Parts: sequence; C-alpha cells; structure tokens
Amino acid sequence: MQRPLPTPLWVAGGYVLLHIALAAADLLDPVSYPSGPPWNPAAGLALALLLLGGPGYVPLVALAAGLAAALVGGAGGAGALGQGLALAVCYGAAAWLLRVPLRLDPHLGTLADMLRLLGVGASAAALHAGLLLALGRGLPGDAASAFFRLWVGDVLGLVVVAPFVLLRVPPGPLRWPGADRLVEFGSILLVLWIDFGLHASEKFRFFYLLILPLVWIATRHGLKGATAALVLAQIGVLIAVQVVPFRDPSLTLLQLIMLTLSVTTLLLGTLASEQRRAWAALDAVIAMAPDGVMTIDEAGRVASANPACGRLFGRAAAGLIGQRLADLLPGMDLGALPWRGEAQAQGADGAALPVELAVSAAGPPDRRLAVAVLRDIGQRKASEARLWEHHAHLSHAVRLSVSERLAAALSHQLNQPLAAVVGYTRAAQRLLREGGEPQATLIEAMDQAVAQATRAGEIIRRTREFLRHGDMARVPVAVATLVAEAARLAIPQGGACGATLKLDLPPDLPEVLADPLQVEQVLINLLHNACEALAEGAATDRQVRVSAAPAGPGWVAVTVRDQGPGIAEDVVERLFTPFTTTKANGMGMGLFIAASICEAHGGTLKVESRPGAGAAFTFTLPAATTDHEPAP
Amino acid sequence: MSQPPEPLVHIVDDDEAVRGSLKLLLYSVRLACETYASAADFLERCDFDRPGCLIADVRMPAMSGLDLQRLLRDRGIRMPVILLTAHGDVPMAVRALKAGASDFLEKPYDDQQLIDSVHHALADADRAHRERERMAQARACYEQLTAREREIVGMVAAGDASKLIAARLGISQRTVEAHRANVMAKFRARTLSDLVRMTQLLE
Repeated sequence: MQRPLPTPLWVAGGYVLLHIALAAADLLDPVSYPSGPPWNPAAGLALALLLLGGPGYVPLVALAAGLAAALVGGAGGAGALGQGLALAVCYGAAAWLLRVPLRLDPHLGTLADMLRLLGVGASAAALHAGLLLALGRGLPGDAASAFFRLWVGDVLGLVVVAPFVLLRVPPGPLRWPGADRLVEFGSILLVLWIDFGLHASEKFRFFYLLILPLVWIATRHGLKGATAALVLAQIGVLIAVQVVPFRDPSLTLLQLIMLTLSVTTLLLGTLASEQRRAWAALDAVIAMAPDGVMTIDEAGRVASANPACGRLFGRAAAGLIGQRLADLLPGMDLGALPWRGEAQAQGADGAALPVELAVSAAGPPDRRLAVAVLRDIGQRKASEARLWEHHAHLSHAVRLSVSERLAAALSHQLNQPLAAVVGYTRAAQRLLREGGEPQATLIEAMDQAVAQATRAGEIIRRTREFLRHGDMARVPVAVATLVAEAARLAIPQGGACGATLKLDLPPDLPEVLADPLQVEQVLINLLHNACEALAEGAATDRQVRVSAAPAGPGWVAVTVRDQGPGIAEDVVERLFTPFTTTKANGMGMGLFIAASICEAHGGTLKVESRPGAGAAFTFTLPAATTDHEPAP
Repeated sequence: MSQPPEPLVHIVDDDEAVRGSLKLLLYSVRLACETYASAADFLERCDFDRPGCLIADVRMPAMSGLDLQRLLRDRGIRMPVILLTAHGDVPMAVRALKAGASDFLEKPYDDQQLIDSVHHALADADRAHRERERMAQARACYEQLTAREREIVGMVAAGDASKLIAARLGISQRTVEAHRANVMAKFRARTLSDLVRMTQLLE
C-alpha cells in the first residue's frame, strides 16, 4: 500500500513549507475571523502525506503544524506544540485506520474507498476540532459554533486537498489543457462571477449553480477532473469572498454548502471513474478474446464487432458494423434466443465457415438487442473429417487384412484335401480305363477320396465355429446411447455429404441386451451407407432418420431410413451376402457383417427399398428383460 | 552306353493324403515314385545320381518347397523341381520359375496337367543324365591318352592337317598319323565330327 515517495529529505522539506504556506494562504482577513477561518487545507495535505508515507511522517506533520500555528497563527510555544500534536495525532490515527484495517486504495478507485476516506476524515476532523477547542483555539465565541467552524474548515480542506494530492502522487505526465477543458473550468469561474460579481449580496442566491459545472466535469473526466475542479472552485470562492466581504457565520454556511457540493462532486467523480475503468476492462477482454463477439441491434444489424470477429469473417472488424446478421449467419432466427449450437457463417469470399455459436438476448426486454459469440471450428471440423477418413480407411484395411488372412488360411486348409480327392479319383479312373488293376486298390482309392472330402467339410465347420465365437459382451444398454455414439462417429462424414440426422426415439423405450461395440458397428455401417446414398443422389430431403420402437414382446426394432436413390431389386436380394457391393472401393462385407452381428444377438436385419424411394434398414435386438420370444 | 535306370519321381509333402493320392495317380500312369514327409527326409534319402524329378509342396513346416529348390540349385543338383501350392499367388510363381523351377501348379491340380509336367521334367532329367554320361565317358577316354596324344588331340579336333601338326611339334608326319589313329580309337570316334563332339564335352 505504501508507494515509494521521492527521497525523504526533499519530501520533508517540501511538505513543511507547503503546510505552512497553505496555512497562510487562507486569504482571509484575520480580523473578521478571530477564531480562524472555516478553511484548513493543511489538514488535507497532512492526511494525504500520512496515507502515502505511513506513520513515520507523524513527527514531521506535528512539526509542520506546530510551526504553522506559531508563525501564522501566532500561538505561543506550548500552544503551538499542542496544536501541532493535535493535528498529527488525529490525522495520523485516521491515516493508520484507513491504511491498515480498512485497506484504503490511495487511488480511490471505488466508491467504497471514497466513502471510507470521507467518513474517517470527517470523524478525525471532529476529533481535531474538539482538541483545538480544548487547547483554547477558536475562542472567544460560543463553543458550538466554533466547533462547527473548525470542523467544516477541516473537512472542506480534506475534501478538496486530500483526493487532489492522492491522485497526483506519483505525478503523471503534464498535459496542457485542451480547449474543452478550458471551457469547463471557465464555466466554474463564470458561475462564481455570476454569483458574487453580478449579484453581490450576502444571500449568495445562485451559489447552487456551481453544481452544474462541477457535475459536468466529474462525469466527463472522472475523479481526477473532479478534484481539479474542486480546487479551482474553492480557490475561486476564497478569492470572491475577499472581494465581497463576508461575515463569519455566513462564510461558514457558504463553506458548508461548498462542502456538500464538493462531497457530491467527489462521489460522482469516483463513480464515473469506476465505471470507466470497468468498461475499459470489459473492452479489453472483448478486444483480446479469441472468440468473435458481436452485438446486434434491433434492426438485426451488427452494432459492434471485436477483432476476432474480423479475423473470422476475413475482413476488418469495423467493416462488419452495419452488416445484416442474416447476411453473415444465414438462417439465424433472432426470435429463438438464447441459441447455442453449430452454424454456418458466411465468409468474405462467400465461403461457408463452420462456427460454434451462442446468441443471447441483451438489454431490456422491450429492446431486441442480442450478443453473439462465435468460435471458428473449421479446424476442428477438418480434423474430425480427417479422423473419420482415417477411421474408415483403417477399418477397411483391417477388414481387408483380416479377410485376406482368413482367405489364405482357409484356402490352404481346404486345397490340401481337395487336391487329394482329385488325385485319388483321377488315379482310380485311369486305372479303371487301363484295366487289370485289382479292385481292392480302386476301392481303397475311392475310400480315400471320400475321406478327404469329409475332412474338407470338417475344416469348414470348424472355421465357422471359430468365427462365430467372437468376444461378445452383452449388457443392457439404451438404444439412444448407442445411436448417439454411432452418430458421433458417423456424422462428421455426414457434414461432408450434407445430411442431417433426425432421431425419433421414444423416451420410454426399453433397454436392449446387446454388445454395445458390435451394435454401434451396425449403426455406423447403416448411417454411413445412408449418408453415401444421399451424397450420390440429388435428394431434396437430406435427412437420415433413426427411429426405434418395441417390436413384439421382448424385442426392440431400430430403423435407419434415408430418401436416397434407393436400391434395385436384384441388389436387394443379395444385399446381405458377402462380396456384394455397389461401391467402387467397397468390399461388400459391411452389411454381411452387420447382419451377422444382428443374428448373433438373436435378431434380424432387413431392408425395405425401391429405386427412387429411399431405403429403410430395420434390425431387431432383444430387450433387456429375462425371457423373450424368438425374433419377429 | 548302358540302359539308364528307371526314372524316379520324388514326392515331398507334409500332408499324408496328398502324398498318397499323388503316388496312386503316378502309379496309374506307370511312373515309379518315392514319397517323403519333409525336405530333410528327402535330402537324406534321395539318390541324386539316379535320374528323376521332384514334386514338392511350397508350404511345409521347417523347409519350404521354394527353399528346397534353391538349395538343390546352389548345390548344383540338376533335378527338375515341380512346385505345388495350396494358396499360391502370381509373384510367388514368377519367383519360383525365375529361380529355375520346372513348373508351378496350384492345388487342386488338374491331373493331366500334372502328369504332363512330370513327363516333361523326366525328359529333361533324362537328357541331363545322358549328357552327364557322355561327359563322363569322354573324360574316361581322355584319361587314357598319353601325353603326346593329349598334345595332338586339340589340334586334330580343330581340323589342322597332319603336316601342320608335324611341323608344329617337330615330329614326322607319319608319327602324327599314328597318334591320330590311336586317339580316334581311344575315343571310339569313327569320324572327325565324333571326335569334335567328344572333345567339346570336355570343355
């Protein structure tokens, strides 16, 4: 909290001189104010120093105040010492209180800080006034009005000087005031002249007009401007009062009004600064955000856009302002807010940009403003598409290699006994043709042939059994879960063929007893086929519909339907046999494997299709109950 | 020349049924054969001097038919090899044939094709055997020549006149004529071309 002040000696000396100067510069005729004028700017300076420098400066403050009391106030040795100590102790305590338990920000960044300063300061001023009275200062005159006068003087000095000093240490760059500043500050002087010059009377009827320039400056320039304006106003008042002599109680009342105006101005200035900072922070966040942030006005046009927006749409962010949202995000319905999801944005060159979008209503209910946050997911989509491609290639390759190895193994196994069958049978034929061979040999040859053919059959049977016994872990699982997972893997590809997925899964659908990975394979295969069918056809309805419903007691049927070109009748007949494919690179095993999986679960896989009328593949799975009838 | 021994077909396959059926098939066309359950067994028991051919399965545990064929070639044994496979592919066949296999057939084989292939291989084997015999014979004849006769035989086969040979060797023409007659007798050649043929075998 303690900011480093410039070298202490410099500060110390400077402070003392300044304190004394301020004490002397009240500019008021001591005759009119034997008990001291209601204006103690030195108090403000002392508090500021104690806040910035810490309790170490208490002795210095005491010294300065004592010297001021002696040199300016004409007090005697003991009196001066007493006054010095009084000031130092009161404001030292105030400073400590503000710094340590209350942790005041010397920059007075928030309203709470300003209120703390004013509250503690006013209390310390009251204590100080009391102590001064006790020391005999301020008399003659009645104690109450003396106390009041002393208190107002201290508080006004605090209000005008302390914030002014706190905000300017360390001093910032010196800037010459621009024309607008001069006008603003000139208006203060103008009002003062109106009040004191034009209508010079003790009634100070138009003094309240001072609030106008003060409020104006406070809201336009925040706290820093407010403090400068206050200093100027106070000095102006003091000068004016010299010209138009005021009597004591009138001036105190005037200063009280000034005090009220000043406190109001300070609070406004603090609020304005606080708000400005908050907005600046928000602006900084939005400007630096990696996601695009746009605000949209009631006419559906872009009111503001951050740099990330510009990058997204491929043009300067400023160029987006005024664009219609419908041009940038085709199909976005601003009536259905809040909206979250993926959408296609329109880039500068007309390219479609996949984005993740969140739009919410902003502003009061009667004004249809909206805020849109966009994230470019082109990269992610591209990666997903690549991942899917790799997945497809990999599974294709795996299927190929597995089948290849299987085919190789099988062919070797089977060709041996088949060769033996040919050998024995042909040998027997030749021997028969030649004649002369004992029958026994011929019969033996044919026995051997039969034995080998049987062996071949045995090999086929064992191979089938081996293939059938895949690891199957059947668990109860919800159809919706399976479809969601399969869609997640199948549909990135769908983005490429422009299909959308529509699910029609009743919430009360029973769970199925199935191997999730295998059933997902079936679904992925069917979804992929549907997608490809839509991609090659010029179908208008690019929807793939997945629906599920109970099918007889203990069974659930799932249907994947598309409105693609459909399947020819002769192809439909052999659709589920291996090596049937309509694709150039197809192996024809996908539906065969899918049907095998369904059968392994005890269900079936069927298709309904006609050329031009799309295709609907339906498979049945056992529901996760204990008994069920055979599949319908 | 003596009658060459009956050619023998060697069958190497780890599958008993294949061996048995092949043996019976070859028997039906009056070919003698011997069966072996592994390449090692074959290498141990086979008499490589006897003309014959080898039918080997490509895929066998331990040593494959291809390896066996390569081994025979490396050892300089010129027995024709017919490779049989239950699941061959074109690259394998090309490799095998380039490496010197006589033929490459897929199981189940066409019996006539196999028999033709065996006959062809045996004919090759027979030719090779005969050539080896002739070579051995020529060498045996050469061994019987004297030193002087050995000097002369090359020039005689080259067709040089006796006068020229005499001049070259510094002996009388009559002596050359005598040596020439002896050489012809020892090589049992009736004409000059017979002799040339024989000496060519020696190269």
